[in-house]
Amino acid sequence: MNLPARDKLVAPRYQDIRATAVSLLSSPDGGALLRVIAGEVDGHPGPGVTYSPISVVHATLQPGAEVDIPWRPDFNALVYALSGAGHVAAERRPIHTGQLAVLDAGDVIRIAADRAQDSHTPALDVYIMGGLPIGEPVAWYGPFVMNTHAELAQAFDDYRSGRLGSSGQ
Amino acid sequence: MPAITAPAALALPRVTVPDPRRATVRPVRSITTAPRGLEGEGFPVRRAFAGVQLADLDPFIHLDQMGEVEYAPGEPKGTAWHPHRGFETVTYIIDGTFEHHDSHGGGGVITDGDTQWMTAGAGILHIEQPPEWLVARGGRSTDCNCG
Repeated sequence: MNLPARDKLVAPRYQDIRATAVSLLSSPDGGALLRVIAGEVDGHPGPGVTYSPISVVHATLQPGAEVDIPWRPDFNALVYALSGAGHVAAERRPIHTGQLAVLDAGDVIRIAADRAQDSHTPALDVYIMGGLPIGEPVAWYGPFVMNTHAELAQAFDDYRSGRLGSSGQ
Repeated sequence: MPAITAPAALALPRVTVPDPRRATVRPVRSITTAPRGLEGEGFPVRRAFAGVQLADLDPFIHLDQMGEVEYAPGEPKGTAWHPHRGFETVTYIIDGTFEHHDSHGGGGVITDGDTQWMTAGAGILHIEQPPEWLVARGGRSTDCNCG
């Protein structure tokens, strides 16, 4: 995720989030499992702490299962199919392994798994991301994501002169 | 997938069913197919956000799905030391094991269902590698690297 301009140069931080720390939710019929990694879904918070408001969810839908996930209307909504086949939205647009759906405005993300999945990927697994857009200019080159070209040049300069730290090698 | 599963899904809290009279199901703006490529020392990735405008992704900027790949002994690959500044990277391991080290002395091992959330902020160097035992033995690996 991008950092807003005010947080671009905060002190580096790691969060190691163990699998057992995520919040687990199910669809009403139990056919979909939602793992809330960060942010919150339907009032259930995940463990990841973020600088700008976002939600990240890994969902597994059994064949034929469908789920409506309440999603903050001011967030964007991105659904990436990790594996399996199904469809998204009320218009039931097909999505399969390796495809990304960008959804438009609304309150709910609808995802469904096809009844027939191939034997190698028996369920539909999706990675769902959304957040409050930062709405700032993005100057991005390689491993640096800044707001202006001058800040990018400074990042390269700082890297070359060792101010980002050293590998110890 | 080995990412955490619940033995009794019905014992979990259930997501509220939205009121269909009030809730709008989000329609599709676009569906794109991730092109395949190679990252780091040569591990296969799908570049999930390729071809999508940054304005549609904001605040997300980057998503790579690695694998699923079945490595033979000696094959598992990672990245060399590399820097980051100005954003956060999130590595979600669905199946497999990775070690990471950084220039601030941090590091650890993440495995099935774990997430490593790194705020690069002012700047950091890090390296992500499969552990030696995995390189020696080979094995399966699937994960997501999101930024």
